[in-house]
Amino acid sequence: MYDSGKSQFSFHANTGLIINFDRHVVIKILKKSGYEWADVTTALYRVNQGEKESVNNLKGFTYNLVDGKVEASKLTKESIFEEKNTDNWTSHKFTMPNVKEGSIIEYSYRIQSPFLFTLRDWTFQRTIPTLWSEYKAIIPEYFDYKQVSQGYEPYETYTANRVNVELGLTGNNPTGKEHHWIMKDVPALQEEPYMTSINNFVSRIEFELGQVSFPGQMITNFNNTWEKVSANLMASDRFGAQLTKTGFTKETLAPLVANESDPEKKMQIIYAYIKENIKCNDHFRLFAENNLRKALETRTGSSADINLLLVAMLKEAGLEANPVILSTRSNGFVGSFTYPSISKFNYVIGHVIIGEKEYLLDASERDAMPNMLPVRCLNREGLLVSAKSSRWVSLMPTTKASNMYQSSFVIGKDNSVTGKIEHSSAGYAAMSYRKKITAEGEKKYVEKALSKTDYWEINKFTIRNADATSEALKIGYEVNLAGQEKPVNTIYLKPMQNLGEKENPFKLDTRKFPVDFATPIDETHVYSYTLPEGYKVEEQPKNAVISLPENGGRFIYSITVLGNTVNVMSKLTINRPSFQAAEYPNLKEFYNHIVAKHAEQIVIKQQSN
Amino acid sequence: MISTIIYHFLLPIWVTFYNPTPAAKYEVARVPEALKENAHAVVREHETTFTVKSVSAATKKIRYVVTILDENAAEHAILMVPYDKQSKVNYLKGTLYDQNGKETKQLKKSDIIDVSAVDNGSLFDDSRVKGAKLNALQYPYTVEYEYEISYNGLLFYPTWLPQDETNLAVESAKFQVIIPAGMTFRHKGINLPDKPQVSVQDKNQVHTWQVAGLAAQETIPFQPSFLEQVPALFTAPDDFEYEGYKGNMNSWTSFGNWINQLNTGKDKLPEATVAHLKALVADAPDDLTKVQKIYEYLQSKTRYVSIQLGIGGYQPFEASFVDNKGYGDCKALSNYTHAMLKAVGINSFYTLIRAGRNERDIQVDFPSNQFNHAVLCVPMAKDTIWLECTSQSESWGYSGSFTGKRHALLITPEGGKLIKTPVYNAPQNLQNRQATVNLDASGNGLANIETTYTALQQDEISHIITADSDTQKKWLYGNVKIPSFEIRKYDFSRQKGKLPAVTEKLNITINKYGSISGKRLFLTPNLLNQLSYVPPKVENRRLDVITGMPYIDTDVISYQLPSSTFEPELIPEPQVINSRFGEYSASVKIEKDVLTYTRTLRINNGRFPASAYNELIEFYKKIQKADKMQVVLATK
Repeated sequence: MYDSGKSQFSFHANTGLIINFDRHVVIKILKKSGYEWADVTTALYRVNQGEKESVNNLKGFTYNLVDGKVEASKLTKESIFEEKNTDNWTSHKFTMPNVKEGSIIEYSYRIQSPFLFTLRDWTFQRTIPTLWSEYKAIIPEYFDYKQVSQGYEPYETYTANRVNVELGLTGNNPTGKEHHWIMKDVPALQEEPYMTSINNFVSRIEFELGQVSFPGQMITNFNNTWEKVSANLMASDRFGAQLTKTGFTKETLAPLVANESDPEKKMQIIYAYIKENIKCNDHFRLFAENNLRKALETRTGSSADINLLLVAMLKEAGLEANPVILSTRSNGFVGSFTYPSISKFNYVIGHVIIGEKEYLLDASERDAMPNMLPVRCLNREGLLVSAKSSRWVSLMPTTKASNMYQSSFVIGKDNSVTGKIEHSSAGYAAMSYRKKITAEGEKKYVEKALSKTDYWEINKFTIRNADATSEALKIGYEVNLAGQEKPVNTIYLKPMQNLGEKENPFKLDTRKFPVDFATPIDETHVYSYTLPEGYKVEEQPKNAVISLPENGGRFIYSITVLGNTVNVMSKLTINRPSFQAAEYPNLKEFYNHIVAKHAEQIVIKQQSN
Repeated sequence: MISTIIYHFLLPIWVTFYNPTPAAKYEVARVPEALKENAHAVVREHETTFTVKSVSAATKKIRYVVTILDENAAEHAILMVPYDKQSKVNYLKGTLYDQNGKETKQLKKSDIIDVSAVDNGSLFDDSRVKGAKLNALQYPYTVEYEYEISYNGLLFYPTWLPQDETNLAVESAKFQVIIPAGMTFRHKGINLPDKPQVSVQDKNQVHTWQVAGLAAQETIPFQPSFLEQVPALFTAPDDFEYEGYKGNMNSWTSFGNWINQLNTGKDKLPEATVAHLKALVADAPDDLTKVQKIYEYLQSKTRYVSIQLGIGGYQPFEASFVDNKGYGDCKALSNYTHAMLKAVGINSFYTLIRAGRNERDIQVDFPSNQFNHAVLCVPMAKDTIWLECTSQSESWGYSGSFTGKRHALLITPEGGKLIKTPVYNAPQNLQNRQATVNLDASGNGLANIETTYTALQQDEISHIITADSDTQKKWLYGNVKIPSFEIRKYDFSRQKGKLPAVTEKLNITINKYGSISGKRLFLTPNLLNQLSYVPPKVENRRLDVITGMPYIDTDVISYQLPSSTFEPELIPEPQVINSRFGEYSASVKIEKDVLTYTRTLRINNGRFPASAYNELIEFYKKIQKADKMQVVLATK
């Protein structure tokens, strides 16, 4: 019903300057499933045994309507707990008394924080609807915090006024600014299928300390241009500084590229060497965990160790190589539109320019290729950093997730179907199949496939090119679908067998956020059926071509009969990795057509005489 | 005396002498090939020494060496040692070895973390964890951990499960209980010789159990509980003391008496509350109605908040505290309900239970603290009413998959008594569905579907009906297995009682449910209940087949066909499938323009020999095929 926060600075003789954050919340509990909102946990930060945040002035009441009268129950100290989670984090918890359906709970508290670097963020939107949410920040002129807002909900009002800031100093108090953000009637936030991190969409405001300027003191500047972010990073011991000394890679590099003069081939060789020889410990990082020399020696490292080592080796080989920093899909968006700061990045990959061509390289994923990054990296844009300059590069995928199923089936008079299926997958589809095969082990993967009994009998299951990343992955198997006990006059054939689109992935009627497939998609089925002797097609599904607007995608379906052979072709392409919420009805309808078309059947009849 | 000292000094020297190159000892190549089969990790050595000092004090020392063969067993590189206010971790050591058995790292003090172990369901308790991780980046590798915990207050003796998960082999494991002469304890072995080796050391008795060469187990479908397949040893004290409360758990009676000690005097309620409760039930015609009223009052007034501190892990809050604050944990809420029933003159028993979906039953012949939850049992003239006091929505008298079909310990004034909670059979676990679908000439449909779920079949959906409408809609879109449809209206209602029922009403439009190809309309009349799971093949099965929840599903779906445009071309034959696992029938009938599909499936639960497994696959396969039966209509 009401959620309000206020951050203001205050000076005390014994603690110096601190930030007081006052929170006041009123929630109406409508259903029992909302009881969790009566348990409140606040995370408090502390520096080892030293400065710490603390909660003060905690007050709380639960209001219930009993026999027409409001009854208030007070939050008392038996219901308040503090728990040490780690050396740096403590949880402050409390639980409201006498909560029932229809209760209104109200609580308020103040957090005192000596950490001036962090001005508390404010989240306007929650998983329950919020009628009123406001945040006030009174910031003295000494501090320059940059604001970053995100989300799909509009502000009701935002005002910023110049004010005198009461710090409690003897002498002159500084001037400053009072910011006031208000949102009204904010709907509940709900996760939807095919989306990146929900954190990208929640309505929120965050702060980054840009600079500090106390009267009579030097101005201290923090990151605030991309050039600066880039320069700081290149000077960092665990990042750029490691790329200045690349001599340690000489010994490894020399035999690899000794007889190679073509720069593109050099790149391929070095990239393949690192992918195959340095194993990723599944720590996805921006900064190197270790010295790069150590990563090379121990043949293991984090994604950052591996990709910075890659850049170092490419440089040593005389190529124009630099790191590109990015935020992974689960970490949320960052890009040219966000406030310059290093804190939103969590990952680094390599970048090479050879003549006119540019390559993006991630050597931490065995199945990745030049310009085919792992899915986690496909998050719009990344920042190319070098000692001289920085610029944004697109991370949009140029490779599709493609699957192609081919088969020749023979239909028996008893309505049985036998054939051999060749499933070949390339690009991102191959990457995800290879991941599954590696995780389970090829032997187990095959065993599992053969033990399936839910549609047809599967025999002779083979996998080719499981490790040959540059080739398409080929999975071949024989199938046998049992027929009736005796011959039948009419055969109803489902031409897609169980390989078509069986369900519309988009079920909900409306959509708030963009649909994100991560990559473009290509699904092709090419089947030929041989009819039993003396049988003819009596009726077949109509051919169809359906397109999404603005070249978003296309579905082609055709059936042709040639003598006793029926050829079936189905091709689904999705050309863009993401679609706006406004395009959702089109996508849903598009899939409705595909599901319906894939369900259609061919009628085959025995000819008299 | 002297001989003992020499013995103590000699032992480690002898070990060192015997094993001059400990490095090579943990070489991965030394693991027998047979133990690598299906294993992601192999326990090389595992030693547990539980030393009882007195009725209230003991230490437990564990040392183990495990070889991690691949990434799937990576969690074995992590050590978690739980402790709380009544226990203390004395030390924790670790060593990492490469595949040649060469030591590559020793655990440093700074590598050990110490964090709160509170799970999300608990608001506050004092359990904590010391943890460490020693991992190499190249598989295989070996880790060795050793730690010691001392206990002040003993409610449990350890349970020994040397092979506690699938895909884990064990080269050798040893378990010892060292106990002062004159003190007794109890033990029960499963798949293990119960009789230990007993020796005397100092003034103590040493009981030793050992196992060796346990091959890795794999998870297979419909298998018996894991505990049936692996060795296990339960141990428990006779006399014990915890936070100053002395007891004996030689029998369920005496263990119950210890709980009585903790609960005594906790059931007092303020006068005003007693008066209020009396007024609440004043008009109730019988005791059953009174119980219902009190339970409904509990559900409207309180909520579950877990607070477990010290003895508070076993002792409920005062009933008056819950009365004042409106919350408590399972113990506090059960005790509060007990107090409220007492106030209106109805007797009830606080009851301990091992709760959890698919949780195995307790060892009924081994009195010990095997419980993790409390409920309330109300004995009535004719039968027994069970109350789950932590839920604000559960039915009175119902004990579903969380607490049903298992033993529970009633805490009566005469001590503990084992009793079995309700078992629900197939005729009670129903899913009855009636639907009418109006199909138009292009295969689109408008459907009204009414489904009633009872007993165990309503357990899942009964949680959905208390959720908000967005969650409910999402759940429906995820659970209604129709390729493409839209919900126009829906409604849930619930009938509470000993056999609770949930009724779900759906009004939906279905896109292209009938598939049109040219002049024909294809219709799969099984609208919502097509079997999607068929058990996979298992080579050389040797474990018995255990089937799960027994139930009966009935579907009657009537299709109003697009009038007079179509006539039937193919009406499928009725299908009947019978086996020891259950019975199935499905048939289609057409009268004028109405096509009626009727399907019933009864699944039995039981234990069958391993050889029956292929028959089970066949049973499911046949049902799956019959569920796809299709009607073909052609234009006249």
